[in-house]
Amino acid sequence: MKVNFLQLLQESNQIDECLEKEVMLLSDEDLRLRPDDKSWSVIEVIDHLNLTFDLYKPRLDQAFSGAEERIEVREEVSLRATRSLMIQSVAPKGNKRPFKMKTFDFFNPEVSDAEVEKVLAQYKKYRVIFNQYLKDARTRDVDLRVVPSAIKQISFRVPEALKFLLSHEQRHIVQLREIIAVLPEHA
Amino acid sequence: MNDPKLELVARFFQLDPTEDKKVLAFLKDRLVTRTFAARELVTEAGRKERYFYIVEEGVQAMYLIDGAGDKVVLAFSFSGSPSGIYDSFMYETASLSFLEALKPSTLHGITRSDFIELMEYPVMLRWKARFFENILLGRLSREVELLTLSAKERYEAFVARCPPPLLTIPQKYLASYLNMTPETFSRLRSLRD
Repeated sequence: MKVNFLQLLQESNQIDECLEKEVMLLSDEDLRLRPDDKSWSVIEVIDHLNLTFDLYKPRLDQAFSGAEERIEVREEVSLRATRSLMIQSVAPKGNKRPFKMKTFDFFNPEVSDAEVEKVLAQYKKYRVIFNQYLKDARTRDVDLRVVPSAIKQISFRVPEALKFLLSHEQRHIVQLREIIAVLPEHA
Repeated sequence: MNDPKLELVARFFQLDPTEDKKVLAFLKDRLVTRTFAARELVTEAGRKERYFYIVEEGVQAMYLIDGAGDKVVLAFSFSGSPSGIYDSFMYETASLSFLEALKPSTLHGITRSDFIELMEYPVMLRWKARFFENILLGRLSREVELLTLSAKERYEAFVARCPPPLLTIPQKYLASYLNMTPETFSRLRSLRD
């Protein structure tokens, strides 16, 4: 699998558009509403994305720190086959989320009513940082730098970590749209 | 006028410094100057274009990324020319294209609401009609070239009208713009040189 950082940036910007047009318009009540006992609410999905980023951000910061400017911008990078498989397993297929997955306990969201705004604000902040990683990956030599994953035995290289995080986020955007679709006002 | 930025903009909009003082005063107040390093993205695909630009310095490429991850160059902008992703700017939709500074660039921009207000001046309405007529004719001519000319003919036609700043940018951008491989572009260039 190859990734193109500009293509990732374009896809990442589409998530921002979804946030602006689909999530920010929801009332607090809708954000907190769970479709059923087993499902997350919209704000819980977003909190889960924040928790994921909480884990990866320091690791990505570490990987980018001290990375030299590339002599020539590089936009396309090949990923290792094993990591490509991991990425493909989390990526949504159109509007479907294949391969049901169990979330690690430390990624399980927990949002009190008073924290809704804080969670949204944090997510918006993280989105800006993530897009900056994608832009920096074009111009800084980070292709072989290592980012430990949430599973101890597996590590990513920076382009793999960025693609993984984006695919994971896209998967949850599909989930988020499924929740919005069954909210009382939208159903 | 004694203001290089305003002189550039007056030239671009074909304004007369003595007759169109009101329009120039409006522009002086509203123009936003932005600078970009070489290879910096001016506008990202997936985001809305916020400005209609006039280029003071530098070269910029407008391109999209196709399904295979390749850049498809649609247009260039350079000193004295307009720049920006116009459809995104006008319709306030997410841009499908990137705009990248290929050289260090200085751009003077005007926001959409200011652009609409600017076009309320009669002199600007006339400019707008001429401007878009020229754009349309230019795009039609490019379409005819792409559909009917051989690679060599496309290269020759481009070189004949190519603004000098474009000759200094990486060949792969020019090759993509002319819908040929960088290798073909390089071969045609060496034949001509």
